[in-house]
Amino acid sequence: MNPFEYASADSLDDAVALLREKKGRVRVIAGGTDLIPQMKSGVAEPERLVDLKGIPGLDRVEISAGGLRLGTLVPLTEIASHPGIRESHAALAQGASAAASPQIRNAGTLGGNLCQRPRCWYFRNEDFHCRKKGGSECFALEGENKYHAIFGGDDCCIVHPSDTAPALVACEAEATLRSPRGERRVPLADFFVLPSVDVRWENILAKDEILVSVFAPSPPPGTRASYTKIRERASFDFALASVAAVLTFEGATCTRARIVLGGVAPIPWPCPAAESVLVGHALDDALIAHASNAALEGAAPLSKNRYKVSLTRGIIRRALANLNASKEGT
Amino acid sequence: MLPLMANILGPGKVPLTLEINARRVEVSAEPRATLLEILRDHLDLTGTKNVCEMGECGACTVHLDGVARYACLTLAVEAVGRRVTTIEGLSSANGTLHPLQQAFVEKDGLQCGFCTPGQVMAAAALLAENPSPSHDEIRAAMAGNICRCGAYPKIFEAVAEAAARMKSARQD
Amino acid sequence: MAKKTKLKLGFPGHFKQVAVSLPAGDPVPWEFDADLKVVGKRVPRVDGPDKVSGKARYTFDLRLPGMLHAAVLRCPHPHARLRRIDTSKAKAHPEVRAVLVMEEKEYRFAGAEVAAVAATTLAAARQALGLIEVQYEKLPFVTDPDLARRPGAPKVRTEGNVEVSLETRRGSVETAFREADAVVELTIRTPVALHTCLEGHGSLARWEGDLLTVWDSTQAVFDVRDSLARALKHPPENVRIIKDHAGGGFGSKLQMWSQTPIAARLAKLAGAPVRLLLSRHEDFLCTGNRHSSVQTLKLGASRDGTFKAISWRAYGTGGIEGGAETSRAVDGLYRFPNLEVHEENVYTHAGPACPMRAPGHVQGVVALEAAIDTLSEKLGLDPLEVRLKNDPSEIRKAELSVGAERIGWSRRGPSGSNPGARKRGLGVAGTTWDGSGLPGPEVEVSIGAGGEVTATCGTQDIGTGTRTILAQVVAEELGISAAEVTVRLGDSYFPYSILSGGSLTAASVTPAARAAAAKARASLLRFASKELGDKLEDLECSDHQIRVRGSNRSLSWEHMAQDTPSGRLSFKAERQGNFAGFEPAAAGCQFAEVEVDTDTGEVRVVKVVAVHDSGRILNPLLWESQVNGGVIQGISFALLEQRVIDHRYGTVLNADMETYKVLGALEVPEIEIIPFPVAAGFNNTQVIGIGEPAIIPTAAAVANAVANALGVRIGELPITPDRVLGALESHAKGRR
Ligand SMILES: Cc1cc2nc3c(=O)[nH]c(=O)nc-3n(C[C@H](O)[C@H](O)[C@H](O)COP(=O)(O)OP(=O)(O)OC[C@H]3O[C@@H](n4cnc5c(N)ncnc54)[C@H](O)[C@@H]3O)c2cc1C
Repeated sequence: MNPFEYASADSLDDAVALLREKKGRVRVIAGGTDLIPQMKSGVAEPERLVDLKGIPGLDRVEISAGGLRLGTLVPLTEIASHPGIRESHAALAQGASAAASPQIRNAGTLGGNLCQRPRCWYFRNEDFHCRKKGGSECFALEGENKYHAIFGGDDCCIVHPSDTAPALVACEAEATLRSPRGERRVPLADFFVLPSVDVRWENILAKDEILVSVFAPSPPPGTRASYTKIRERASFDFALASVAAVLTFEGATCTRARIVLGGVAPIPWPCPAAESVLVGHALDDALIAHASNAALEGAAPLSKNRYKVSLTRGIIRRALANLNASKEGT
Repeated sequence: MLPLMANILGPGKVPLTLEINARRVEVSAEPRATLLEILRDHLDLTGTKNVCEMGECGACTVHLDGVARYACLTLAVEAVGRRVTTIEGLSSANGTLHPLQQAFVEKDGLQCGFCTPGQVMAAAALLAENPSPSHDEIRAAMAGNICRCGAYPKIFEAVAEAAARMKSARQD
Repeated sequence: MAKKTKLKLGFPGHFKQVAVSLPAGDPVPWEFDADLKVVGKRVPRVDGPDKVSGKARYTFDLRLPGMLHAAVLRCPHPHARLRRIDTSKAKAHPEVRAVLVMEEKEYRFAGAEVAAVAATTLAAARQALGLIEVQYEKLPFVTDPDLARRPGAPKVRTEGNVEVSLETRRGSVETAFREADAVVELTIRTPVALHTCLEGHGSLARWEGDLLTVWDSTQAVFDVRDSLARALKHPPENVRIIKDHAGGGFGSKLQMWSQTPIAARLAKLAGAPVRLLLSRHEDFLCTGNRHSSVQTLKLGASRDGTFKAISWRAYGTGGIEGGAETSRAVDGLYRFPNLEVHEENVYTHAGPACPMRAPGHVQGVVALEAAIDTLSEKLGLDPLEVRLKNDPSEIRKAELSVGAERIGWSRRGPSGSNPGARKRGLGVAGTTWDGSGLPGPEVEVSIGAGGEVTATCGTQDIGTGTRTILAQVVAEELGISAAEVTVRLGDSYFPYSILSGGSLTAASVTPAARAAAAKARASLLRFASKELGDKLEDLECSDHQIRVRGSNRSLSWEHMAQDTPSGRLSFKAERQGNFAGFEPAAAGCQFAEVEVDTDTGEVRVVKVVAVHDSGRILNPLLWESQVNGGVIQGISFALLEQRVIDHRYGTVLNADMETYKVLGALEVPEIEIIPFPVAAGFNNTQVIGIGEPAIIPTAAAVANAVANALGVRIGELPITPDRVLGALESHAKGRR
């Protein structure tokens, strides 16, 4: 790790002001579970860290009739185990509990999980000056790309590593951001950007901008949600593929569907084609198969990740069937 | 709108006051020093092991305000004002082993022993929060601690045994 | 003079009198059902309390006053020559105390040592590495063994990249295949695996005049002493290697690696102790691995399943080191009247291989057992019956029957017959390993002026429990408890011992301990008999005294020790050569049940039944731990582990513990361990090591269970979701 100065902010104003200096070579530290490995492997070499943990209120969970507001510092462990969240936003709770290991979930925060950098083994290796680091090549495109993207990865085929992001996007969450220029709110789906938009950074945050909180509206009655994640090692591992599915039923009919994939694209990957197959219908095996096929249309697997196509199709099918069955059970 | 300069530490060495195993200690370290480095290199508390340095193995598990954390992913400055407990602080001052440590010995929940302090600390955090964990809860709580020797089955047994003993001790 | 006698060897139902020639002066082996008080008991690890409380100091935990920290500059290229190096800026760094440039100027893998620095802090040492100016001449390289075999591939060694390592023929395989009723051929690939001991490789070196002491994380203090003495051209008697506790080894610490001489040289240059601890990343690149394999087996049998012939053609790569054999287990496991083996080492520009827990056997058994299942399928026979028919070991045949019962083998359906997306399957595999021990180790048992008993030996405890079993054996002989024996080990100034590996330690060291303790006992009895005037046969040894039976007269050990000029009685004995045994090697087998999810490709091991003979089980508690460890590492190898190199650049991509995946708590299946005690012979404790046997069959049994579940053979380990889904897809295409 390179030497850096450490600044503990006690207000958001303070934090964004601290971020403005040092020509952008400043990083926010929340739980540090991703930032510290980034610094140890030379991916990040900030001159200053701004610690958010001294800012009051950023670790708050607020549940109201309108929805769920989570401060950026809420630990993953709390999201995973919070009875209210498990009740209202099951996919998010499941996503948080499927992320990393118990100790990392204790330290790791929601904001850090959403803003973590990709795990691509070329990006994380100092020997490869890849496109994401300002180089001219994506080494994975024709290299060891078993863990890489099958969607949206033409320029840089990382996958977004977060397990909470697909769940929150499926919950139609909105992010609140704060910079010296003030506050802005964006749908979380628009927070993440493809490498074709910005190959160097995975989200729209400016260098002096902070993710403050995330708001997920309460789902309509009759909503069932889940997060399904497949990994090589259950104990702790990033997703080979995952799916957040949020379905609303009126009687037997699916009236609203959100299907968002993880582990297959540089951003949480929405599946509008699959969603529209479902909406307006009672689900049966044939329709579910149709929807999961539709979700994988346009997939562009690389030399070593063809399997992600059938894997993803398989888990979408399973997730939809389970949600449909759980609806019938109620 | 200039931030308070007093808030900024480093990049050179700064004095840090830490509370480790219920003792106040003063160290001088750069902000980039991890808690793991401080424990091992400054305080000679070498029970907390350094294996991967990247949060991928669990051998450096300690408690921060009673919660299990990887010391390799915690900066020492972040631990200021918080209670740090290491494996050395788990047994009582007179050296009597914690019931978990005792159960690890009796059930042979260890082989080479290098991951053991981390395993014990992960288990201790579990039992503090959930005194009667199910078998599945034990496994889930131990998922962040790699044991290359493969002592897992006996680790699970040891944790279950310690939970049972601590429970009956509380009832006495 | 050796004593010719007959011993009752074997196991219940299969005992026989075997003529043996017992080494002179060695205690007579304990009988199979001897009534032992300490040996064979579940004695907790004697170093357990120190390990659970964090008190145990490993090499990585040691510091010395004035100690410097070292870091190594490594070549980033898989093959390069040094053009120019300038260390002046590093030397000028205020905290740097020594800089060393390696003698070797051609680097044959990414990670090879170029230079090293010792400084007052590790951060400074690392910073100074960045101040060294180096220019490399990049040379052509090859890291893919398939490419390395091609003519014209860049050369790793002047002799060429391919070396025939094993060539055997027996009978005529061609004729036998022609005459066989069924012949199958298949190719199995296994990856390069990494030992991943949690304590990596590290050394702390200190010079005091000409005396060099190195605290080294090793499995072999004497071997490191000799290698280091040779490397430094320093007399071995002036080199002392110490290793108190070791955080695993699994074969990767059997030899000296470069960190040891580097630390010693830097310490000499700097005139201060130097500690060099490799990072996880360095450890994964430079300190050994399990070689890969590509094995093509052809197996023929008659209609009833009797094997007629096997052809075994294999190659593998251990990077810049050779030693890629896989077929060593073949004759120990099954009878093949006709056999042909051709094995090749392929040299590549990658980090060196070294032994890893049952080297070659783990890989070879995967292929052999796969071939047997494939053949059984073709013949329409139960693969267990086929094994029983061809197994030369009475022990393993009995074990197979026990294990089949415990796993519920009768439930096993035809391969691929399971309906639904989640399919269950059963598999079995065998193990053979000669862990009967070697002569040479010496143990000293002493009784001090306070009556305290100490056993001293330069062996190592790498987590296998050597300390504890030595204490037990000495305690047994002297009539005390294991806790009353202090064991000192891990020091080349102690009596000689062999390396701790190959399942050799228990069987090589405990017989010497027993012999030394027996000497102590005999001598105490003789001394007491003289002193007390009682006949030897009226005396007994227990409770730290020699007592006269049926009286209250006794003489304490303490008293006898104080009566000597040194105040200490000491007895040394050496491990003698092996005598005859019941069967040539330890036998075992494992059964695995798996569940494969055909939608996701996930494989879950549900249960493993492990049945193992290891002669006398000295301590069931620790023995079970060894078996658990073998099974768990075996599953890890079967399902998770593989080093990944980008062959375009020769760079290892997963030299960390997130992407090099080893098994964690949630992947552990139910493991049912069935000890199969045998009066084995060989040595006076009749113990055979269990470390390697326990891992050998696991991956093979798991792979066979997966094939049974799917009806499709995954020809490459590890069996990861991508491979399962890929195999299912091509299978479905093939059928269409
Ligand atoms: C071994 C390992 C396994 C893991 N497995 C998984 C997994 O399976 N699934 C998964 O989802 N994650 C996984 N992770 C990632 C882990 O969940 C994240 O490290 C964690 O959630 C990040 O939270 P943090 O608070 O520690 O973030 P930090 O490390 O503090 O920050 C991470 C990044 O986000 C930035 N950041 C943090 N907060 C803000 C903010 N409020 N505004 C702007 N920027 C911010 C930081 O500058 C930094 O770049 C794993 C990590 C490790 C080390």
